[in-house]
Amino acid sequence: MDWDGVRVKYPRKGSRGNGTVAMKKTVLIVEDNELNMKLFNDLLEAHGYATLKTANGIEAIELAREHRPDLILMDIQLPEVSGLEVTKWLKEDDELRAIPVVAVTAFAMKGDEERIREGGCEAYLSKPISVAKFLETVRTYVGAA
Amino acid sequence: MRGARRSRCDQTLQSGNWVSVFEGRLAGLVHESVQDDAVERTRHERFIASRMGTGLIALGLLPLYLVLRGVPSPVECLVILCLAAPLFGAAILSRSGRLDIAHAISSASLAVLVVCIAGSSGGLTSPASIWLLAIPLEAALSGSRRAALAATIVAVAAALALVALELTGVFPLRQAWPAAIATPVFAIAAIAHAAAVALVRTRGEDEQRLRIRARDAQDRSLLQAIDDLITWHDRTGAVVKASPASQKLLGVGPGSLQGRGLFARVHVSDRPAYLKAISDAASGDRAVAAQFRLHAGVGDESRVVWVEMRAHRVVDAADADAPAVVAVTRDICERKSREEDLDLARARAERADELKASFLATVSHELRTPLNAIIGFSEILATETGTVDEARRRDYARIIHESGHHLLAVVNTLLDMSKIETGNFDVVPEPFDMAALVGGCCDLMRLKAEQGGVTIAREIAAEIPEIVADRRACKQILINLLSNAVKFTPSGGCVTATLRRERDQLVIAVTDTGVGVPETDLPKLGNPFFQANSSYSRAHEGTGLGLSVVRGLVGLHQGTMTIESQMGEGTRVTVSLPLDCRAGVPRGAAIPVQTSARLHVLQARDKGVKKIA
Repeated sequence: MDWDGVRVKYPRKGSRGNGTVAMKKTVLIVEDNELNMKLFNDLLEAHGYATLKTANGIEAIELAREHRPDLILMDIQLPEVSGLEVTKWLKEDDELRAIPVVAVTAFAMKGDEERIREGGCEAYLSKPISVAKFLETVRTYVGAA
Repeated sequence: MRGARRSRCDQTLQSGNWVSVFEGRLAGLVHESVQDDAVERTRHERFIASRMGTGLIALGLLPLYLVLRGVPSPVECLVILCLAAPLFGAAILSRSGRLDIAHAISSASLAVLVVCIAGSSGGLTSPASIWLLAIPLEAALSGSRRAALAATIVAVAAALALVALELTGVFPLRQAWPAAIATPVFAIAAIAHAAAVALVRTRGEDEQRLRIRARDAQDRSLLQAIDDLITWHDRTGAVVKASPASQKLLGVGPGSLQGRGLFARVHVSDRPAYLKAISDAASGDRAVAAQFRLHAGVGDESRVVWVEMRAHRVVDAADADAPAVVAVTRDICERKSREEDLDLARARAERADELKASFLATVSHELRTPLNAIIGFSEILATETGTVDEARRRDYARIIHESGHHLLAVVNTLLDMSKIETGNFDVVPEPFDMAALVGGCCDLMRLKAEQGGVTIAREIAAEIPEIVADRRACKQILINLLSNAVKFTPSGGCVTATLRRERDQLVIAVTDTGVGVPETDLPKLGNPFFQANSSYSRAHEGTGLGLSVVRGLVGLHQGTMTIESQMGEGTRVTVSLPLDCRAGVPRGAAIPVQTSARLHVLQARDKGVKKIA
């Protein structure tokens, strides 16, 4: 995967938003379906967000630790480790806990939303997404780009 | 109680038999305290009947005597009174039920009578004094110890009275009749009386015996008619007696259950429950029920029978050796197996519900994933025309098209699966060259395999005959197996398709060097939507329907399917199809899949292949 252009340096967490340089808000996308990854990536980039991409839960933790994204979009069904598990790890980590996690999943059966919210996700979007609602939810957590 | 007595009288009256009428009336005179005790009732009846008879005969003869004799002397009045006294005794017994008092009255009156007669006919030397013997004798035959004792005292007192009379000379003590006549008359009368008493007594005993025998026969036939085993236990729980039903329930005679015999047949782990039930029943007033297993039969014929025992305390157990508990034991195998069937059916229904729920969740997931791309990209194209350049627009359209096709593939697989499961999949058998089909499918899959760095090899035996089967179905079997193998094999791995003939079957095997399947998941392979690993973390895309469809199609061709897999080593799926699938009856979708947790070097012929339904 090509990470060039998304390795953005930004001030420390405490001083975020007070920087004099206008920073792009960064969104970490955790998604194992290539086409859906492209959809989320293109939508976010088109609206001025920087993105980080991975299909792997463990890599997602590493990326979050390294880059401190402003938001994480989390697919639930992932190879090896499920998105729920990854979210649990994030929420157990003192440094990463503050990053909001939005679950974006095709599990849309009765009880799935409750289960996912209980897992620590701040919000839940079911696939197929509505573009407007998707962008609105992103804005709710990180503000306009 | 009185009502019951009356109805008994009514019944006997209707019978029209005078003896029965008499017996019915007589039974009505017996005091109610002895109604339920057969032995005591007989004694009462006998006493009342004999004393009433004596008294009535005496009273009946009195007018004639008075006519012939004229005004009676005081001694004669006393004799007449004594002759009537038995009636009084009978009345006392009927009213109070006190046999000893009645006997005392009877004995006393007889004693006075004998003293009067003997006193008037020569005192102790009078033949009438022989009758003194009759007093204790009669009381003794009555069966009452107290009455016999009282009668003996009365008789001795009477004898002493006679001696006293003789010494004082109050009575004339004259020799009224010559001894030559009097002695035989009194002796014969006394013997006749004794004989009569003895006869009545033996008759009573015979009746008693008959009654007991009839009751025993009744009890026996009752026990024989009952299929449940009835056992009597003593205070320690040992069996004192068992009913003949043991033969039917356990296949052994009742004798072999005696003592610890029944206990020895109780299943070891059920013995505490059995013993507790017996001891609870012995000490409580309520019936105690227990369910346990019994070993029926002997030796190799032994089998286990589920039984339910209801144990009751024996009321009024006469002594320590008498049974303390009576238990009724019933075969409940049928009920048990029905319960087990119900549990099994319930578990199966619950499992089916779970499968259905997970099926729906997975279908929903598999449909939503491509729909997300289709709806998302088309929405971008429709709403954000200004910001999307030409190249991107074309790219998005391609993605929508691709996702649409993926969606179509999912829908088609679902439909196939549904057709196979409902028996609506039409198999169109035609002769074709399987070797060519295997080659063609390998070519079809090569491009996708190369993208993932996987090579596809083929090992096709020489001289593979034509097979008669549904070509489209066979192609789908091959494509599904190959794409599964490619999907689960990491880059650098190899997928091998082999085809050979084994007698009248073609054996197709697809072997990969992929990740393998955990042993615990092996039996679930081939179930709809099952993909090894938990549902939220899935390593590989796919509906999980591939193997399920293969399984169904193989079943429709009367073929067999074997899965061998070893973690980290790879997986081999072997499908055997008959050369002519038209023979035999299609086995439907759910054919058993044989699985093995070892990837054998040689396939099919190896031992240790576990069969799992």
